[in-house]
Amino acid sequence: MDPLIRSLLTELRRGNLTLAVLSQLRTPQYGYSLVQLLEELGVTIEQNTLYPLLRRLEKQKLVTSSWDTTDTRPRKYYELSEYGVEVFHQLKAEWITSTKKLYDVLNEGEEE
Amino acid sequence: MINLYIQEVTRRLPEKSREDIGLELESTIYDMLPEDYDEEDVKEALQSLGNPAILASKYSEKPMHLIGPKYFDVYTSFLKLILPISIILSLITVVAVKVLNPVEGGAVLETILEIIGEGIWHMLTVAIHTFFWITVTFAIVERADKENNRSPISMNFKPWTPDDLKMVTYLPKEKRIKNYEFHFGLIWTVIWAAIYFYADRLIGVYENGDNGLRLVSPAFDQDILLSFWPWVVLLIIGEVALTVYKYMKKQWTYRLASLQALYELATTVVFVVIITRSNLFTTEFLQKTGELFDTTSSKIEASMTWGLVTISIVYTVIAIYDVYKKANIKVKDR
Repeated sequence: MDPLIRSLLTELRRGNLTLAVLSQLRTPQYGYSLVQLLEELGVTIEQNTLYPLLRRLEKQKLVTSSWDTTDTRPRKYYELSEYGVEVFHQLKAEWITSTKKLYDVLNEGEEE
Repeated sequence: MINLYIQEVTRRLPEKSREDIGLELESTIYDMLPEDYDEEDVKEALQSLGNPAILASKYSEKPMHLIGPKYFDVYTSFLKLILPISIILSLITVVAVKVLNPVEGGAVLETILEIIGEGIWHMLTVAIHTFFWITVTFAIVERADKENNRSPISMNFKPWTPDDLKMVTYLPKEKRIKNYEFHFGLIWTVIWAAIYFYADRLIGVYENGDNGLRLVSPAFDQDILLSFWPWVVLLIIGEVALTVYKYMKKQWTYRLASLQALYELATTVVFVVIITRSNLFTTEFLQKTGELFDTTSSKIEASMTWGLVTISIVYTVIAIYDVYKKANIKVKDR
């Protein structure tokens, strides 16, 4: 792929990824399970982007984390906080309206 | 191999988050591996996590650049402002030191060459120092800044607002005083001041001797010349002040033109007073030049005096006319 197109696509995806990750954290997930979950849904995310993103969301108090040591391996689970749920719904609404608008704008161009 | 990878990531992170991130990475990597894994599987897993340096930088969120977009504009403006000034100051220092401590009995040419050599060396050193310290300062500010707002800031270290435009004066191209005029103005002041205080070693009749070009008979009686020093010092101060004022105004105004004209007049008056002073030229110098042009020394003195007076007056008239012409340019306000 053209490197320019690739970098533009990365830019386009960046914000969407946060939204996708937030949407999947309504149930507790650990790092790798989240990767698989997103992949099943057709969202590819670089792992070296996802893990730091999770920590950043935690720092921003959108998600909470807890270590689960009952399993064979200790795993760190992330889940949306109350504030996170609130923010997620707002972002979701914004995303839907702006995507609709963008869709109209792009379609308009097609018709001409 | 897994531990090595984790170490490569965590050693780049702040102490307090190392353990947590390390543990999480470890469990993640094992999650990625199948039941019975071999080295190839590990390699594949690590490959998908990518370069540890990049992963660490994404964790730490510290910038991977020296000066980012938020500060870059202010940084370059600072450099443009401070670099030339510090370079000129270093040049002035070199010239001043050289003039105050002349090489004993040294030929003029050598002294001048030495000034040029040391001047270039010092200017380079100062330029590198200035550049380095400004860069370091901004790099530190960039890292110390914890604010979430990453939009570029303007010269007053705040985000831009339309009110900032009130601080900017509209500079029409025709009236603008270029920055190099300011820099050369300062250098010119240093040069003529050095020549004045150093005239008995610089101006006169030169002869080629054993040690290269040597001044054999100075043109001026230095005692008489230096008896005017308070006036000359006043002129130097005046010129420097005027140059700085020009730099701040950045364009020709009537007030600036009047100040410049006043200064030109004062210079000419002082110059004429000095030059017409009797016995200013040394008899030796007048004799030598007289021989050169096959005429008497009194004739040489008269023609030199009046020649210089005429030149300086003509120059002053032209200069004053020129600045008023620039100040008079009408520009439509936009």
